[in-house]
Formats: sequence, C-alpha cells, structure tokens
Amino acid sequence: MNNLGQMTLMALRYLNGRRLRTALTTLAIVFGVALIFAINITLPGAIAAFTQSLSSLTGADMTITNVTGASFAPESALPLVQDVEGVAAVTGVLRRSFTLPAIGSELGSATSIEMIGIEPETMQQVRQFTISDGRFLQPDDRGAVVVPAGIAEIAPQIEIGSTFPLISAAGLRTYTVVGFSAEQGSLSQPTLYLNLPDVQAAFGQPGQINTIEIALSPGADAAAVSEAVLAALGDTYIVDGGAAGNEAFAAVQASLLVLNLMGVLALFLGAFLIFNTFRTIVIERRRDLGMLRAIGATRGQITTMILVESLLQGVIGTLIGLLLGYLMASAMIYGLAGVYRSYFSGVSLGITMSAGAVISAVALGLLTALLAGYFPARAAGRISPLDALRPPTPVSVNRATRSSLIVGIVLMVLAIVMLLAGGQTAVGGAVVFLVGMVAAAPGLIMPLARLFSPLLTLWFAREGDLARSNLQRQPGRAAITASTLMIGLAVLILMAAMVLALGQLVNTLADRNFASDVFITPPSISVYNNVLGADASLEDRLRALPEIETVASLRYASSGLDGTRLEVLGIDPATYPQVASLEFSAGSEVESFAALGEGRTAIVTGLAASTLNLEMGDEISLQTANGAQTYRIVGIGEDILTFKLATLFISQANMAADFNKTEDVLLMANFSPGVEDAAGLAAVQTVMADYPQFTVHLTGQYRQTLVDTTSAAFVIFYGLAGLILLPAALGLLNTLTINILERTREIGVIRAVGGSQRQVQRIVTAEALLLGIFGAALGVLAGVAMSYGFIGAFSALGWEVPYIFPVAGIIAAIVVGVLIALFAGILPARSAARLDIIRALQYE
Amino acid sequence: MFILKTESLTKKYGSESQPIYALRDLNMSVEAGEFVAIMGPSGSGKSTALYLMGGLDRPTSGHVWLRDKDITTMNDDALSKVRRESIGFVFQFFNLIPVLTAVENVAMPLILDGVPRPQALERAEAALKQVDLANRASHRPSELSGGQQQRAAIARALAAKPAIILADEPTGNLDSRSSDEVVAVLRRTVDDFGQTLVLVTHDPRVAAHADRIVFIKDGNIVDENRLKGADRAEQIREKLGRVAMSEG
Amino acid sequence: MSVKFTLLALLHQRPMHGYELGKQFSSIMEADWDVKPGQIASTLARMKDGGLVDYEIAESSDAPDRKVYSITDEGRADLELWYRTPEVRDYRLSDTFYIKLVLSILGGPVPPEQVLSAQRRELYQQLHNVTEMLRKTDARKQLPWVLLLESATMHLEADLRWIEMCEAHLPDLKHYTPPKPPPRQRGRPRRHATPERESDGALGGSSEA
Ligand SMILES: Nc1ncnc2c1ncn2[C@@H]1O[C@H](COP(=O)(O)OP(=O)(O)O)[C@@H](O)[C@H]1O
Ligand SMILES: [Mg+2]
Repeated sequence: MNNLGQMTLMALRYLNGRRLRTALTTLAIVFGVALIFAINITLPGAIAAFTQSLSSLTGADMTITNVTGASFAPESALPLVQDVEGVAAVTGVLRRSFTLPAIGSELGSATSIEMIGIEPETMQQVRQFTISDGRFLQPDDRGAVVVPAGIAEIAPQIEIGSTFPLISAAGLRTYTVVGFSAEQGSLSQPTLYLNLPDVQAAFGQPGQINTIEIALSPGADAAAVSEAVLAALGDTYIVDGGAAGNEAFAAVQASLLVLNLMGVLALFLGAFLIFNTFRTIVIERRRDLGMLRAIGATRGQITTMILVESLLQGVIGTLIGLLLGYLMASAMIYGLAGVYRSYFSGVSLGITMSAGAVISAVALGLLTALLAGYFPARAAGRISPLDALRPPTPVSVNRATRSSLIVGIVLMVLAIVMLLAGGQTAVGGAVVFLVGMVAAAPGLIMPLARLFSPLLTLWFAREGDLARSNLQRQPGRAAITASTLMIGLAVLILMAAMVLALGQLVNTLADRNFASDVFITPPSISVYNNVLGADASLEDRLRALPEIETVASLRYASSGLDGTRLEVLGIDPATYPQVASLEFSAGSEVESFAALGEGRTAIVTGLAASTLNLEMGDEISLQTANGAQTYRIVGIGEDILTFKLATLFISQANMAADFNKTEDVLLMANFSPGVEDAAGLAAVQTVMADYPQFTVHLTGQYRQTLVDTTSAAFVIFYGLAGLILLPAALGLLNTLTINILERTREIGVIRAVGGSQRQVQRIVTAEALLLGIFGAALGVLAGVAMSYGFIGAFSALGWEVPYIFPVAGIIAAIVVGVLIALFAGILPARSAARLDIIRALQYE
Repeated sequence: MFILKTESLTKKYGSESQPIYALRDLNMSVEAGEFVAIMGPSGSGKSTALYLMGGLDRPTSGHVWLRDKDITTMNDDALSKVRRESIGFVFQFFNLIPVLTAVENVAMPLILDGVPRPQALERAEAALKQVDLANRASHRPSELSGGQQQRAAIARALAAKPAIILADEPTGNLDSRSSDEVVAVLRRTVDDFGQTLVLVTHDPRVAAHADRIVFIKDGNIVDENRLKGADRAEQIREKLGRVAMSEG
Repeated sequence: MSVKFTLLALLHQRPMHGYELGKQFSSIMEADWDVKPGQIASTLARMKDGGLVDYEIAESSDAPDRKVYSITDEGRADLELWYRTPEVRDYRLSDTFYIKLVLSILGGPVPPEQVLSAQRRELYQQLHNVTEMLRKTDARKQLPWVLLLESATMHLEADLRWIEMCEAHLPDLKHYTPPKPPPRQRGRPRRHATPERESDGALGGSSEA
C-alpha cells in the first residue's frame, strides 16, 4: 500500500461520518479487550503472590530440598553435602509457611507466617544476619524467636522480651522475642527465626529438616557444585527448587484459562459485530469503491482501505478496552477479595501490570478487528469498477443461503454423531454444532421468520408483516445478529446446565464426606500446603473423650507421577470408612478400603485417573520423599474435597514411611451413642482450644454451608454468561440501528404516505422481536447441544454426571433473548419514529 | 497516430443459448487530441464500448489498444495501473467520495499511484483551477452544485494527465446551464491542452462540441460525422443575421 | 420583419432625423438588415399620412433633410398593440426535406436511412458551427447576437431530435401505404399554419435557419 496515511484519513472521515455506528461497533472490541486485560492483570498477580509466598528466598548461595518438599533426617544428607568440593559451609533448616487462624493474633494483620528453624552456629557460617535490636539466637535458647524489625508496623506492642502464643501441631506454644532482624520481607507473611528443635516440636517433626542451605567456597562454580551435590544425594533431592507447583497454583491457572476463554468468546462475538458492520459498510459504499477501482485503485488497495478502517476501530476499541479493563480489574478486586481469600487462603489479589497482559490484550483486540474486517475487505476488493456505474443487480440470495444451509445441516448432523460419541469428542461436537448453526442461520431466517410471524401478527397486526419482509431482505445480516444472540443464549443454557450438573455432583459427593458427626477443618480446605495441622496428640486427646467414639483423619503430602503433580492424602483404612466414604466409579467401598491396608496401594480420584490414564490394578511408580515407590491402584473414587483435584488416597502408614508425614490436616469424629450434638461439640471444643488453627463444625451444618458456598461459586458461571450476553445485545442494537440508517428514506416514504410515528416504531420493535425470537430459538437448540456435549465431557474428566435437561435455563434464555431484543429495539425504534420526514426523503 | 483503437470489440451478455450482444465487432480509433462523441439510442452499447476502452470490463473477444499496448490481455493489477495513469473517467453520477473534500477527491488517483500527499494536493489544485473550481477546493461534494461536482470529477480525471479521458454521459444528470459549463470545460481541455477525449452523450448540443460524432446502434457503428472547423464563421453570421424584413 | 414597427420603436425612444433612423436601423443589433434608405423614407411618409408619426423642421440644422420625426399617441398605441401580439411560428410542411423523406419512404433510389443520415450530418455540422460561434461570443457584450445563436442552437437541436425520432419510427413507417387519393384531389398538400394545429408536433417541420 502506497499511502496508508491517506487511507487512514479516509477511514477516519468515514468513521466520523457515522459516529453512532462506529461507537457501537467499537464497543464490541472494547468489551472483549477489557475482559481479557482485566483477567490478565489480576490473576497472574495472584499466582505470583502465591508462588512467592511459598518460595524460600534465602540469603544462602544454594538450597537443597526433597523433590516432594517432604522433610528428612539431616544425618542422611548433611554429611554427604559437606564433603562436596566447593561447599564451604552447610546447615540444616526446617522451614514452613502456614496460614494463621482467622481469629485475632498477636501478630496484627499478618495472615500467615513463615517459621524457620535453624542451628545458629552453622547458619551463621552460611549467611549473614543483621540484628537491628536485641540479639541473635543462641544454640541453647528455647522458645526464643527473632522477628523482623518491620513487624512493629503491624504489631507495635511487640518488643524485646515480649511473649506471644502461636499455633503448633501439638497445641499452642509461647515464644519470647529476643531480637529484631533487619531482614526485609513481606509484612503479610513475616519470617520468624527459632532454634531448630523448637520448630521441629512445633511441626511435630522431631529430628527432621526440610532444607539444606549451602555457602560456596570463594570462586567455586555453582553449576558444578550443584551437579556434584545431586550426584551425592540421588534424585530424591533438588537444588534451588523453591516452591514446586501446588494444587492452588493449578486451580488458579485453570480459572485463568476459563476466564480467558470467556474473554476470547466475547471478542469472537465482537468480531461478529465488526464483520456485520463492515459487510454493511461495503454494501453501502459499493459505488465509492467501484469508482475508486475505476480511477485505478487495485484490489489490494481497496482491501487495505477497508482493513485500515477496521484496524482503526480495533485500535480505538483496544485503547478504550485497556482503560475499561483496568477499571474492571479494580472493581473485581474490590468485589472478589473476600470470596477469593476463603478459597485460596494466602493468595492476595492485586493489579499487576505486565507487558504480557498489555500485549496479549492489544494483540487480540487488533487481530479480532483485522480478522473480522478481512472478509468484508476482501469482498470489497472484488467489487468491479462497473459496480460504481450500474444499478445493483439483485444477488440471488436464495442460492447463497441455500448452500450455507446445506453446509450448516451437514455440520449439525456430524455434530450430533460426535455428541453421541461422548467424552472429549462431545465437546468438539458441541463446537461443531455451534458452527453449523451459524452457517445454517441465514437459510433458516426465512422459514423461521415465516413460522414466528403469526405470533407477531397477534400483537402487531400489519407491522409484523413489514418487519418480517425487512428481515428477509437482508437474511445474511439478520442471521449474523441472531447468531450473536444465539451464542450468548447458548452459553447461558450451557452454564445453567453446568450449574445444575455440578450442583448434583456436589450433593452426591457431600453425602460421602459428611457421614461423621463432627468435622474439624483447617483454615483452607482445598489447599493443605499452607496448613499447619496437628500431631498425634490431637487425635489421641479426642479419642480419649468419652463423648467420642471414632476419630479419623486426613494427612497430606505432595508427590508427582511422570511429571504431573499429585496430591496425596493419607487415611487410616480402618477408621476412615466409619466416618466418611468415597463415591466409587471403580472398585467398592469395602474391598478398596480393605486393600488400602495391605502393601503400597492407592485409591485415585476420577480426575487423576483420567489425566494420568489410570485403571484399576495398574501399578504406578510414585515419587516419594524416599525415592520412587510402586503403588497399585485398588479403586477410583472421590469426595467433595477432592473431586476437582488429581488426588491419591494411601494409608497413613505408607505416608509416614514414604513421605515422612504424620501430621493431621483434617479430622472427622463420631459421637458415642446417646451423646447430644451440643454436648459432644462442647467436649470437642475444649480440646480444640489448644489448636486454634482448626475450626470445629457439626457436620450437618457444615455440609450445608459448604454446599452453599460451592453453589455460590457457580454463580460466577452466570456472571460469565452475562458477560457474553452483553455483546450479543450490542450486536442486536447495532443491526437494528444500521437497518434503520439504511432504510431512512424508506421510513420517510412510509411517513409521507401517512404512516404514524407509532406505526414506524412498531415496525422496528416487531423487527427486533422477530430477531430476538429467532436468536432465542437458535440459542436453545445450540445451548442444548452444547450443554449435552460439555457435560458428556465431564465423564471424560472422571466425573460421572447425569445430564439434566436445563428446563429453567431454556426458559431463562428465551425470556432473556426476548427482553434483550425489546430493549435493544427501544432506541432504534424511537429514532426511526422521530425521523424528520423531509430529511428522511432526501437522505442519500 | 491513434491513442486508442478497438479491434473487433465484442461483448456478449446473457446465456449461451440466448446471447445478448452489447457490442458486435466494434472497430474504432481515436486520434491524439481528438474529441469524439459517441451517440446512439439507449441500450445501443455506448457505455459498454466506453467501459471496455477504459479497461473497466473485459470484452468477450477483440482488443483494445492503448497506444501500443493491448489492455485486454492485462491482469487486474496492470489494468488498474493503466486506469490510474493513462485513463481518466468521468461518469454521469459524479461519484465523488462524500467524506473527502473536492481537492482530496481530485488528488485520489495520484495518491493511489503513490504520489506523496503534498505533491498530489498541489497537482489537484492545479487541476481544479483548470476547471474553474479553485475557489471550492476545500468543499465537500455535498456542498457543491451538480455542475461543480461534475467539474471536480473532470479535474480528478485530468489530475493524472491521462492519455485519454472517457466520459459517459457527463451532462446526463445536469440542467442545461451546468451542462454547458461542463462541456465547455471539456472542450477547453482539448483545445488548450491537446487532451484526447471520448464522450458518450444523448444531447446534440453536447455532441456538437465534438470534432467527430460516432453513431452507434445495436452494438456497432452505423454512421460517423466529421465536423469541419469553424472557418465558415462569417458565413453563419451572415446566414443567421439576415433578418427578413417586410413592410407591415 | 416589419420596417414600420422598427421605426416606431426607435422613435419611441426619442425623435430622430430620417437619416439618423437609417443608421440606428443597422447598428442597433448585430444583425444585418436588408433594408434600403428609400424604403425607410416611404414608410415614414406612409405613417405620417396614417397619423402614426409627425415631424417638424429643425431650424438650426444644416442637414439636407431637416425633418425630425416623432411618434404620435396613435403611433404609440399601434406600437404597443404590436408588442403585445404574439408571433406565431410557421410550420412548413412544405419543407423540402420533409417531402424528401416521405418520398423516400414510399420508395426511391435512396433509402430513407441515408436521407436521414445525410440531413443529420448537415444539421450537426450547422450545430457544431453555431456552437463554436457561441463559444467565441461574449454573452455580456453581444447579448442580442447570443440570443439569436441560442435560438438557432435550439432549433437545430429540435430538428436533430425530430430526425432521431424519425429514425426510430422508420421500421414502422416502411409499412406505410398512403391512402388511395380521391380522384378529384390534385396538387400539394395544403399549408397548415393555423395556431390550432400547433399541438400537431409530430408533423412539425424543420425550419431553415
Ligand atoms: N451486466 C449486463 N448484463 C446483461 N446485459 C447487459 C449488461 N450490461 C449491459 N447489458 C446490455 O447491453 C446492451 C448495451 O448496454 P449499454 O452499453 O449500457 O447501453 P447504452 O450505454 O448505450 O445505453 C443493453 O442491451 C444492455 O441491456
Ligand atoms: Mg449508458
């Protein structure tokens, strides 16, 4: 293109000439970009904060941890590391960050802390500590703690010599502040230094460490040392591992993906809108474009011209979108912070601007505009110079629509076959069905409009007929508009079906978990990484209560299989079935739990089975703290706490042996016969006073709150559907407005021959309604297909969910569709009715 | 030496079984600096002939020579270039871009040809001067009268200094006064700048400005009229001016 | 063209010598006037007899003819009536070309197409000439001349359109057989010059300029 400047100038003038339309079209881009941008500046920040909270940034030259993050005995590793050449000093550390109970603490606003147990002498050879006040730890200190100087900001009452209680695995313990370290750090998660034995006691891990910190000799080659260390220790250890993945990380990433998908869908609808507008533009400017061809513009130049125009809208839309996205992000953070914290404790939300977020939003916005503009632009390039000179020859609408109808029907038939195949193919089927509907839409307009117009006639009498013929004149545009609405409504139905199905699933699974009388939970129930549980003392004390008959617990470790992260839960196969159960899809309650007691065996969740492709009887080589171990699968099942995670259940005995873990993170208990709920609860609570990291619930109540909150979380699905519906509404508004602009002269004639304002208004409203009904009809079809496909695909994920026909969703979709149509019709109808007759007649 | 020549130019529309010949073996040649008017009843193929000559459409058979180049064998891009550089079109409906000012419209072919905007605008101003429209340069088409719009369109056709201007009923949409202005402007480009011009018209008054009139019927030339120069001016004067007197 | 009313119109402006009237007569318009001095004198004399003009002898003048003519009230009334009477154009169906055409349709050595074509060429040449004249004429300075040229243009245009129309009708006209002439009727068709026949445009003849 020779002269982009000129093209831009013309584009700007054209856009400026039709400001309303430009604004409506641009909004489409604004919306998608805003959504994507908002998502990408909030969630990655959350993830980063989360990762950071887990990573152990120390001042040491090198750190060594177990691959599973598990603790280990120092004797097994320290001497080996000591001997490696280039290693100057070595010290063993037991460190962990955990969430503090929500109840008030001496540490002010800190929501979690990191506790590091050290040997003061060896540690000081590895890294330097600066003490700003008081003194550093001494080897024989007990209960002494060094706190960061910055803590004064959140807990001003703390000074040298003050004491405060802190949760531990064995109940509350009290510590005395002996010094302030000058170390910087996050105040939402202060770092406390204690003597190693204190921390080992607090975590219930006597004699264990989980990190080795190393200082290198001057001039030593870090890479060579790292290699030599690993060679000495074997592959159960890693160097500078930091925080390996964890389940919250995966969950956040999954939601990032889903949300981005929604943004992309919104942009897709935006693209529809732009496509629609530009098709109109090209038709409108047929003469101008033909003339440009006549005076020597090449096809390429014409195509570029239209592309520049759509790109310009893309640029404007993207810029506004970025701004709106930022505002949306701020609002989102404000609104969601609370909800989010209860699910992923320790993750704080905030806006993190990143080049990536900006670039991806900008790229998507511009690409969408370009892509949507491309086809009309190409069509514009094909305009013959003669088009400028001859009256438009009426194109054979019928033939074009008939061929696309055939393509659409073929696609839909194919889609139905795919849907019936189930599994992941079904998702493909749902998408193919949608595409088929879009293709078939222009061909369906006529018959469907004819079908529905008797309905309209009831209300609108003569105007209904006019409205129908208006739509039939532009079946392509009407189809695109209806398709936009269709997608929005289909998504609504899909979401309704998902909520229905997931609600059902949650209820079924909840029955399994909540067979006990009492439920004792840590601050966060889906993320155990940050949980400081309890040692055997708690279980023992509970069992000792006369009101309690049985106690069962869950223990937690993390592991990996073929590079995939797995959560491992330890249960006691003898007591667990007495208080809870799993929903089995392979194996049975009796046999699987029995098998869990014998040798290295595991029950996996459906999600784990499907992602890792596991079946009953398979043997897997599981990464453990003490090297790879072979486990046999003896069942596939899950409960409400594990259904969204790839999880393995093993016996607590195996967990102690292979993962060095004996800490209970969640407990369930049954009352003795005849014990009243209130009395039993009171008894349990006396014990739990020493373990404030746990909360005690009566299971019945807890079940309800859990099911409720989970269901409430599903509301976000409806929110997403709403986000998709908004551009659909815009599309409808856009089409109607463009229709009216195009028919200005015609409306002038109707008015001139005696049509009343009211009649004109009714024509446009009827048109909007017809489009709405049409879109809703398509949307219902597509929505049913999509929901069937997606829910069918759940089974591929390991969740056996019955397909429940989303009647309510369908009714809602129809109502919403018609309402959107009526609403979108208001403005255009009013402006059509108010057209000045003389000016309308002169409109060119 | 001809500027443009057609050779057995034929254009067929309609189906194989029921062909409609818009042009049939049209042979016609236009000399440099010549002003040719094409006349004929409606539907006789005048426009078709003009469009084929200007490379707006492709013939069913036959050739169009623009100087020594056969434009009927060119690909679309080459043809666009020819239109841009060697041919100026003027149409019945002025076909100005509504969002551009007169001068920007006139500069359009130059800009499409890669002339930098300032130069293009400068040359466009000159072309506007040539059609007596310099004082309306920055007006939008909607702010110009029909005659002014058509003159702007003529300026656009002139801007690239084309080898030939092809005008299809340029006065068809104008009142007689504007029509006279427009055709006078066209005649002047021929007289003063040696422009070659082919013009399709229905209007004898317009055709009378031409040097030659070609009459077309059913897609072929049926008659041709070479108009002699005005050396007989005195004769006309005498003839017209002799007022018959009578007593009375 | 009426000499009488031209003289009256000139005298209406101001009284003049006969000699002066003669000069005005030929210079007032760009046209050539085909009138002799004797004709002016005799016309003046006749009008004096009719009471339309009067004259007095100018004492001071030493010109050979010292009569200064002026218009009388009667003359003024006559002049006004003349102005107010519309001129009716002559439809010359006896026009030679019309006859040529009709005869060629009825059959002759030259087909009517060629007759039309030859006529059209001539008309276009004339139109071309007039157009060129017109282009060279400054409308502000030579308005009467321009008006005349315009009139010629439009008549030529009308003639050309008529030829166009004849051409379009030729296929139908070729089947035309004239009605058998009644035995007693002889000679040329009658002249139609009455205003009532004005609407009979299709038969309007070309008027030679
Ligand atoms: N796109 C077309 N399709 C079919 N016939 C056409 C087309 N364009 C022109 N014609 C026919 O070709 C003949 C010549 O048309 P045209 O050149 O436009 O005539 P003119 O300009 O002399 O009025 C006409 O009979 C017309 O119907
Ligand atoms: Mg034409």
